[in-house]
Amino acid sequence: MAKTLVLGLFHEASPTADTLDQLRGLGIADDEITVLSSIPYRAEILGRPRPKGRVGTYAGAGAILGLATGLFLSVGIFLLYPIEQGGQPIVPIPPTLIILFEVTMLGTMWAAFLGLLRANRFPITKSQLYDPRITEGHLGVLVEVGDAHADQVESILRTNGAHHLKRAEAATPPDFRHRAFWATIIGAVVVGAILVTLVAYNVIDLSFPTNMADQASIASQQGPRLAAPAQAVPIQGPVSIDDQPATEPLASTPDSIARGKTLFDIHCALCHGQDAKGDGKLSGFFNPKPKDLTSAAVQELSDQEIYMVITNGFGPMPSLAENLSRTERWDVINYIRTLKGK
Amino acid sequence: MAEFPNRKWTMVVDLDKCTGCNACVVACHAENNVPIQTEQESTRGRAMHWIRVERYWEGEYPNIKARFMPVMCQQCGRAPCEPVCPVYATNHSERENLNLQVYNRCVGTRYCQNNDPYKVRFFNFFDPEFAGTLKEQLNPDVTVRSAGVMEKCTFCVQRIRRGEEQALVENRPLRDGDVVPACVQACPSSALVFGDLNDPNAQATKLVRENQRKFRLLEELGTEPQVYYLKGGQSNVGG
Amino acid sequence: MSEAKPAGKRDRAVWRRPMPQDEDLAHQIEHEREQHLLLDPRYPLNIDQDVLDPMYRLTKRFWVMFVILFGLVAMAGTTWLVQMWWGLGITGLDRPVMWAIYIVDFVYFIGIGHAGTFISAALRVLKIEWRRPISRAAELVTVFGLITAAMFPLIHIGRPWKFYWLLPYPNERQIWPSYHSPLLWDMTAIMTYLSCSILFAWISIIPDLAMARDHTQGWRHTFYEMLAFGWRGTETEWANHETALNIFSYGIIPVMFSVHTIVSWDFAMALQPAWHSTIFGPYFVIGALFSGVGAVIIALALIRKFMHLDYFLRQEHFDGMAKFLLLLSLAWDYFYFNDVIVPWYGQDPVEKTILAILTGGTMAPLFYLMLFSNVLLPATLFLKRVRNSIPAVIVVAIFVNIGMYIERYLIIPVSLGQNWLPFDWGYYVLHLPETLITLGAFGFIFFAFLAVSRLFPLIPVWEVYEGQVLQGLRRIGRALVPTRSEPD
Repeated sequence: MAKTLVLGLFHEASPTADTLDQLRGLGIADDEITVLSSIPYRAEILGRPRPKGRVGTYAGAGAILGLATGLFLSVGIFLLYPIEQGGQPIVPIPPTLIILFEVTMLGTMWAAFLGLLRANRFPITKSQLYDPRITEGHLGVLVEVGDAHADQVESILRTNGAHHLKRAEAATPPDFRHRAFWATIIGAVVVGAILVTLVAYNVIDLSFPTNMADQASIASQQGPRLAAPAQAVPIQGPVSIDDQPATEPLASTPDSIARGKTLFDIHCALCHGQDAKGDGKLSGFFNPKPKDLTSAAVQELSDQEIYMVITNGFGPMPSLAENLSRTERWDVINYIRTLKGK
Repeated sequence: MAEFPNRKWTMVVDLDKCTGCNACVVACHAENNVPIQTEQESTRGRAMHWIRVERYWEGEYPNIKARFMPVMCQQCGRAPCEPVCPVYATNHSERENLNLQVYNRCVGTRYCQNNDPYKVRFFNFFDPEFAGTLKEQLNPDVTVRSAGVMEKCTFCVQRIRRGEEQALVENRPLRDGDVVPACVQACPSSALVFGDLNDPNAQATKLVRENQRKFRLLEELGTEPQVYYLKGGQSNVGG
Repeated sequence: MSEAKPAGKRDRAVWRRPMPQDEDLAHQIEHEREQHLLLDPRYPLNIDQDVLDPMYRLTKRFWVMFVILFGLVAMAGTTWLVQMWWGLGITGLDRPVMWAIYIVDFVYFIGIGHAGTFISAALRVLKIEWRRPISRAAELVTVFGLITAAMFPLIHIGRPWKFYWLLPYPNERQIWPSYHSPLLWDMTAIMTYLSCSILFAWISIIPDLAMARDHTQGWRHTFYEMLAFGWRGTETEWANHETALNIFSYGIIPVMFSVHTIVSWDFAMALQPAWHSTIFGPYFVIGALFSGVGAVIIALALIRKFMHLDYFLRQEHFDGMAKFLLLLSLAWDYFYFNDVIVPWYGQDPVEKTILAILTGGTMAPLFYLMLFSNVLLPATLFLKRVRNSIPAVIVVAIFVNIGMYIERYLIIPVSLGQNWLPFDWGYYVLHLPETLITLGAFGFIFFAFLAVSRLFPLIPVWEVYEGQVLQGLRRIGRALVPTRSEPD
């Protein structure tokens, strides 16, 4: 049977109460009548049954959840991360009590709020029969009754002085907006929690420079180091300084060249080849390939530049500073100079 | 994982030998990358000296006496600075009886400094600047701290580590004198002595054991400091 | 089925009751109506309009205030960014005064946040009826005060971009924050208090949002419609609403006490002389209520004047708040005396030095101003003549706030300058960044209030109307006496 909603407004409480009595006499059940008001009226004023509140249960559940969370945050964290601080026990009692209290209250009140939303089915998105005059201090009596009895109800309301009567269909279309709202909220919270966890566990790598990752101090084997200003430190013998040419080359004597050839065969030939053509046994592993030392490109480099390449390395070529002493490096350079055009 | 034995690192400061020369202060700056503050900052009290020579004037002219004593982090057994740190940036090493400061965990609430009765903790108000060639002098074993981080004397924990590891590699126990903090190393009058109180033969242990001259700073606060001061009779040198 | 009875005289809606014929009684009713809001009922639509109309008023004065306050906030924000870039060295902090104005501001604004909850929750529990029109403004003072306060821990730490390490979240490194530290108890307590205050204010505003929804059009109507959640005022809705408000009222009072106690433990847990005192817990709570009630008085005075709410906020409310302020002043006197006499009597040299600085040294002018503002001036509230004058009450409230700010300043940076080893004594000098950020914080709280005053009804109309329905005048002998029936 189709149902109709009838709404009538009253100024005062007594005629409202009388109307409710008469409607009850008509056989309408208490839960088919709703009283709308702008202030809370005690149930006894209008002769209504007291509504059962469920918010308290939610709050109780929230308290338990809060207590559990508080236990985790205090005792749990102390045990998960047992680090001694100031001679206090790993699980100190007074801070634990403080945290338990705070988080339990937090849980209780949040649960009371969410319980209120749930108990009142907030937010109500379906269309409801209502009159804005309710918030102007009027009392509204809303009755859900079969179509046949709607007129009877209306007459009772009018007899008792109701004004601004309204009627509407009691059909309830599916209320997906309400579900969509909560789905969005819960979804956002869950997605947020997942995202935060992913970032916290470095699955999503948000590496940004932190202050002390790059240190100004220079460890051994680490560079670059500042060079002393020119002429600041007296030097003897060949020496290499950043951005400064290698000084004091060795004279290109036959002895030096002979030594240089021996050293070349030992240290350089594997990559640059026996004939320094860049075709050594290991040359296939490098990209770009070891240079052809007889080529014009290499021979046109100054002695100092070749010296720096041997000392610092060049691209895939490693530094041979530890393999060749300074004088040995000049021997090798002298030998390479003899390879020009070969 | 190598297991190192328990240590009770202790510093003994003989105030009768201390001349107040501040060599320990300079050595500490050099070893631990402690920035040197400008004159303006120092007058505001922001000078950062992990070990400082506290100086008090006593008496009226012409009978003035200078009383001084070197004060560094006392590495308290029940350190008041530790439980107040909200991020565990300062905590206790039970094995070594040291108070540890973790620079990269510090968020800079500065509660530890408020709760520290000896005021041996220092805050980096600005990014420390090591101009030009001073960078070359920085010790790579010690973090160079950035702005917003608290720091303090660590009993040269980097040297302690190196000493322990060296002893482990050489398969021998750690000897007294293997670990020498920078201040102890620099002191010209050997007023500073460092050692492991668990080692009965260490020089520090012998100095502390049944010594009538010994006292600890602000002991009545219950902090259980690991620094013993020795002071005998009245003398103007060392106060 | 009983016969329908016409509504009798006694049943008439409060705003429809006629005046009696007897002149004497009529006079009495007029007098009570003038004095008491809850005995002066009007047609609720008029009440609604009185609350909603000021929200539309965007005068030139409003925009000038808006721009000035926004400017203050923007200046504070810029200063903070500059401070983050250069480091905390640009402030006046030094060794040993590591906590200064930012922490003073923090404690001050949390203190302001206390009175609101006390008025809306504790007075509700105690069924004190004159709290009805003021509870919303008080709750808003709480919420904005707490939000402002919550920014200061971020402003004052050395590496604010790492603030999230103070939150307990599981992470790859399995590092957790330390609940040994009072700062984390702070964080938990303030998070609890702030979120629950917001929820409390939200719950109590829902019926008024429904009222606003019903009497506005356009974007406002849509805005209130969304926020009112479809409230109609059915019995179930009201019953659940009352239960939730009760749970919150009873729950948030112990939280309120715990929050400022925990804030005081930031200081009491330290070994610093003049801080390490067990009286700090209750002392700070009373101090917070004291400055908070002062702040609420100022807020009420401002909205009464600028939103023309004199129908709602009458002398009786300021009288009640003034009595409350007086009581709190006496309580504060008691606790402060306790805090001072113990170090004065004892022989601790550092505490004696600090007391000497306060009473006769560099801080003496501030100290005596504080005593004047907190002890002497509120004592004038004993006089009914002072209490009945709203401007006088406002002046006392302003001075109380000044006095309480000074009190926190004297506790925090001044005490920190003296400690166990005299070689390390220092003092604190206020610098520009702290001044700008403090001004910006005050600007923010006023700005937020200004913005909200045009968006949300500042008077809880449903509570006022409920009070008007339940209060009445009863004839005892020759006089008409106000009576109050107790709602459940």
